[in-house]
Amino acid sequence: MHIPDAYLSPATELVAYGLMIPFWIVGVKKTAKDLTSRQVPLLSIGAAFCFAIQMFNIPAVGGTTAHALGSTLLAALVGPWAAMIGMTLTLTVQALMFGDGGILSLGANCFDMAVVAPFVGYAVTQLVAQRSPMASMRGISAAGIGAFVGTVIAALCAGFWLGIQPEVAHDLIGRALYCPFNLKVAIPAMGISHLLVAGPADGIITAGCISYLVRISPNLLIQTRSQPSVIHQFRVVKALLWVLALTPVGLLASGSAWGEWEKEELAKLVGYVPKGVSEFRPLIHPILPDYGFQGASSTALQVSGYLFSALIGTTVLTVFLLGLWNGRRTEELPTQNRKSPTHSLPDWMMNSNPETKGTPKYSKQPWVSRTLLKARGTLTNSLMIEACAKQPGWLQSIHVLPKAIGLIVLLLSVGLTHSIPELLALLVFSLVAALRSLNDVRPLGSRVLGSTQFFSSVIIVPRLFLPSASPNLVTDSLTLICRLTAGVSWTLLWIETTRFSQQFELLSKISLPEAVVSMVRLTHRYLFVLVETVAEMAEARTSRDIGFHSKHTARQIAGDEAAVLFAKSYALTEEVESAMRSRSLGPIQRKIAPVRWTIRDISFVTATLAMLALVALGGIHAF
Amino acid sequence: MLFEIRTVGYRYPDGNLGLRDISWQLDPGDRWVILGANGSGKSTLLRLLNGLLFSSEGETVYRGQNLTEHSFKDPHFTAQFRRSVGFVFQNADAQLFNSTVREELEYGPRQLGLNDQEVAERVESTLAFLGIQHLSDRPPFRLSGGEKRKVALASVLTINPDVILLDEPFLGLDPRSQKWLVQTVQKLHEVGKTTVIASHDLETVRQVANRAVLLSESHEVLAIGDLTTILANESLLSEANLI
Repeated sequence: MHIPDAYLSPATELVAYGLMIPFWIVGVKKTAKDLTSRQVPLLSIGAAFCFAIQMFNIPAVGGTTAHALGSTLLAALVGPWAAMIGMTLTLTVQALMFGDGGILSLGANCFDMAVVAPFVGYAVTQLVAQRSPMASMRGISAAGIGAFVGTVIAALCAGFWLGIQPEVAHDLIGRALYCPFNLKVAIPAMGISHLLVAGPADGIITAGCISYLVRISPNLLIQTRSQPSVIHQFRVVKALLWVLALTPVGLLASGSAWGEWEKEELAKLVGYVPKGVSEFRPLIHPILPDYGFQGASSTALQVSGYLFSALIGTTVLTVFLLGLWNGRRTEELPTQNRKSPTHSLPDWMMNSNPETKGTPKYSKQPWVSRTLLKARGTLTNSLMIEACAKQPGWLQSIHVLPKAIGLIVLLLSVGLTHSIPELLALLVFSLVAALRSLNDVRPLGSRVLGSTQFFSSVIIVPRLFLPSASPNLVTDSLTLICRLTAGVSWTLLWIETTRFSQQFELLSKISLPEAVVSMVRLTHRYLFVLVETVAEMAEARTSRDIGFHSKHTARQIAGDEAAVLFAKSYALTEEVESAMRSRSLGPIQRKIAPVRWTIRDISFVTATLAMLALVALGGIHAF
Repeated sequence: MLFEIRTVGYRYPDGNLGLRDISWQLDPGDRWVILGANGSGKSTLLRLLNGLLFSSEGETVYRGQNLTEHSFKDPHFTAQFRRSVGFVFQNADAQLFNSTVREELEYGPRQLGLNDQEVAERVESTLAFLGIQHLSDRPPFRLSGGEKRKVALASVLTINPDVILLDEPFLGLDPRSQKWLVQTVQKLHEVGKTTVIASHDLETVRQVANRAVLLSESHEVLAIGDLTTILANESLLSEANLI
């Protein structure tokens, strides 16, 4: 669901940022009130936890992947506003330090995953739970359902941002300048993979975690539920839902070219169902289920396709919730008194194990271990990049503030330009910068290729088969690929030449509250702890997986692993909080080196501004 | 022969060297200790023995079967191997992944095809053997450091493996728990279990092992053989940066 840079038009990105600003302000204000020293580590660990579960990419329809979000879980534990801050932290760390999701598109990504997902999830949870406490079965199921709905709606929002691109941003001859898929493709593509895969996964993780926390740490949930503000928050949520429902419509209506579309297409849109679902040919259609081929199958088939996805998704979730209901009834056991060891080995330990009857089966899926290795690799990689950022080089020597300004100007230019020569100039500039900054540009090159390859194939391959393929096909696709490559190159260059500490410094410099900056810092730190723990847990499980799982254990494994991870993280917050308290000598005062604009800084910013000017001039010519 | 390691080398995915040119043979009932300074490759060697990592060069053979990623794709071999070789991790926190101590102990035996009563019997007697009955319904990560270690050991003991690999088991235990662990390992020896312990505690290992592999900081074998002989050779130990 993470939209990369250069996939949305700068105008859309700006609108998304505009939408986010009030949320951020209110969110920081609301959480700052009860942002005790205890909640800072809790939120940061929550954010790191979300990051970790988002690394589990589950294969979805048509070769795409989807992942759970964890937003509703956070909302259930710390409230929707704090969850919004937590998710924003996750997304910021992902964008700034790992290149997952774009920097300019951070606003849109935050809107989907930090606002829509937790608020919708929270509202649905409240609606389903009514007045039942979170610790009841109804409360737990409500959270699971909330997470499912929240994730799906968030995915639809992401589909919306992508899908409006061909309409809001096309040139005079109608070729799409950014994401080439219209709403008919983007919405079902996002919707189906999340209905089938990511939504149920999120529901399962959320319900599993909460049912687990109910058992081991009930006070945690009671605390958050008994706040009188919950009802009040719910009202806010209801109002917000209305706003959310209206925003897209308002957005669409604002474009002058939209009058016609609004009347004719919107009606179609509401009842629109992709044909690809009913055909469901994941192998033949490698990327998205359907690219808007017109005609052919009937509406009835399409509707049934959508219902089919929703049915499968909800069935998976229901089966899990029922399993939870049956498997989770733990009777209160009397507290046992401490006894001394018996000092003699049990009899069965004297002999070897009896032969096991039956065939061993495996509950573990290969992708779990693959993903873990990948996640570990990503983190190791980011440490290597950190080493790279410490080496002397041209971009490394530029102060972080001018560098950030330059980066944003460059990304804007990449987003605004429509001409290939200009994009090539931006690419050459990035190459020169890379050559002057990095000892070895090959790793950067392969990273750029790696991340553009996927998106390029997403753009080109379907276009080749589109019946409406215009004569501009080649230039069209080239523009998009150049745009992506330039955008990704600059983002990765930023990541590879800016140390983590400098990034945190930058966040302080743009006068973010100190609490927020330290949360970003902690989130980043915990991420390493958490992923390491996840990998070790998986290894420990492998070591004890004999293969004959009874139904009982198989069912438990499904829900427990994420829950245990969360509970472990939660246990960690207590230690961290104590560690912070024991070393806190008063409010944190960090001395930030003032920007001394050196010639290098000035020349870099000037160069980027020149690029933007070039683009602006070129743009005027193009139209 | 239980394990045979032939000129094994291991490189981490990031290219760092883990082990170089290791050759080693283990027989059933042996009491081995792997000695080496921090970062010499003790844990890596144990993970190779447990089939969690696979050698980049050379071969690790268990009862005539080569341990490779491929051999673990055979469920029968995996089941046979995992019920015979247990691994107690250094980080007890990571080892414990179930929601209560009881579930943690049940995890292994439930996969052995035992009925509920047999499983419960195993769990109860193991809890009693280690004197941790009072912890049975607590979540593992809420325990103290020493308790976690006991639960981690118990979770492996309930599988009743023939070979037990222990990674730095004495680290962070108080003197009394250390003595308790030594006695426990000695009892396991009495019933013929094979143990391989990775440690740099030169005093305690004398009581739980009679043979040693000494690893250098360059990840190679410095010496292999009788533990007392190796511990008597001061120049060797200082070459390994242990003293």
